[in-house]
Amino acid sequence: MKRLWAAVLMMAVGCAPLDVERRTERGPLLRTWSQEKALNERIPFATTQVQWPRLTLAFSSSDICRTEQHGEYAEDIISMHGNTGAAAEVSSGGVLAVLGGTLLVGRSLFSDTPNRSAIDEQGRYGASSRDVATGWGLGLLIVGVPAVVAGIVQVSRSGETRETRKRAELLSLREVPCEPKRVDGVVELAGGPGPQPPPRLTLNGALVLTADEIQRLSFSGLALDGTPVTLEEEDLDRLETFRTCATLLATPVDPQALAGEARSRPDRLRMKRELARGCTTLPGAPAQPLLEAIEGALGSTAL
Amino acid sequence: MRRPLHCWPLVCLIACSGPDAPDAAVCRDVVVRLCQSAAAYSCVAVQLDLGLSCEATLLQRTGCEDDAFAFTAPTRERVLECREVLLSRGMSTDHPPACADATRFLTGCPDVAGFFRGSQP
Repeated sequence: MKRLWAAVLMMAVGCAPLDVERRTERGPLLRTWSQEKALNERIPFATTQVQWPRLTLAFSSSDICRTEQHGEYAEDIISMHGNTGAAAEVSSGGVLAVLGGTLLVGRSLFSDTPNRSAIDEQGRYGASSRDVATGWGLGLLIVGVPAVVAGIVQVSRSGETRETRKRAELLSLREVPCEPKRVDGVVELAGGPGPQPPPRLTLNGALVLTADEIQRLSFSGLALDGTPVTLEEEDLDRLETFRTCATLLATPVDPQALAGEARSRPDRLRMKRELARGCTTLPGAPAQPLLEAIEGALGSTAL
Repeated sequence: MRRPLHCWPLVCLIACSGPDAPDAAVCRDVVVRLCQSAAAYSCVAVQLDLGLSCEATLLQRTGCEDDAFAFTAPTRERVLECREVLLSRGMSTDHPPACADATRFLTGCPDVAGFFRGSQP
């Protein structure tokens, strides 16, 4: 019988639920480290060099190297255990237990005489007041004590626990060409509006285009042995500037025509001036006479 | 008196029973129920051949005014079985049975009715 009561009490207490609220707080940065690896995906690249009136496209095959920057943080996982009903459970259980205990302790104060005013179907008198008080006392104790114990356990288990662990995080990722190797092959100048120029062979990993040639060629992209060639932004800009200057500097400087244009279309001439300034960045490009003539034409118009 | 330990303590929460009532008490309980209300009395008066003093007549006729009285024929179990129809309104004698219940008591249990009429089994 005692084991049965103990089992009932354990179940009542053990099954008491606890609310758990978890939150994560990031701690300080403990260390950082870099990790580099090649993706083994070789792709053709091209760089540009200008020595007016020649543009040299240097071709290479490079791997893609990925550089990962990792950081390790301390991370605190804070668990808040609690039960909002625990205090109420202790309170109500306590009242019931005290009431039941009082009835049991004071049971001798009740009459032990059976209730002779009623005889049941089996011919028995009604229970004495003492028996009724004992039954109610036990019943209230059975309900109240587990509630008190469960409530106390819940209150004692409530609180905050902190667990610290390390957490790694990817901070940055950078992919750059690496391990370049000079390559030769057939270069296709493709993508222009006009007829596609004939393919050309590189020599020592390079293809040289003159300003006269590039005026006639119509292309927007490069391919080496059928594979699209990647140019970095700086090289693309240089290629486009060379192409623009090849057209701009091919025409002889005519101060009178520029003066007329300064009067009729000054905005267009100002734009041409900006282009001529860009040409001065190309080594050896004879842009200075044109720039001075444009400045002169615009200056005389302003006067 | 025998204590009803088999129901202690849980059944006591609602309706725990005390010791067995003696036969005389059971017999007097039936007499009280039959004679307590005018409704029941009017229904059983003719069949039980009662005079003006219902309780006194039945107690004297059955002999259960004596505390040493014991059922023989009908037996205690038979009387208790037939008495159940008189308990439809509750165990306490404060709630007397209806006329219909009293009539069913007599018609359903002729042997018990004969005992209260004073006839020999």
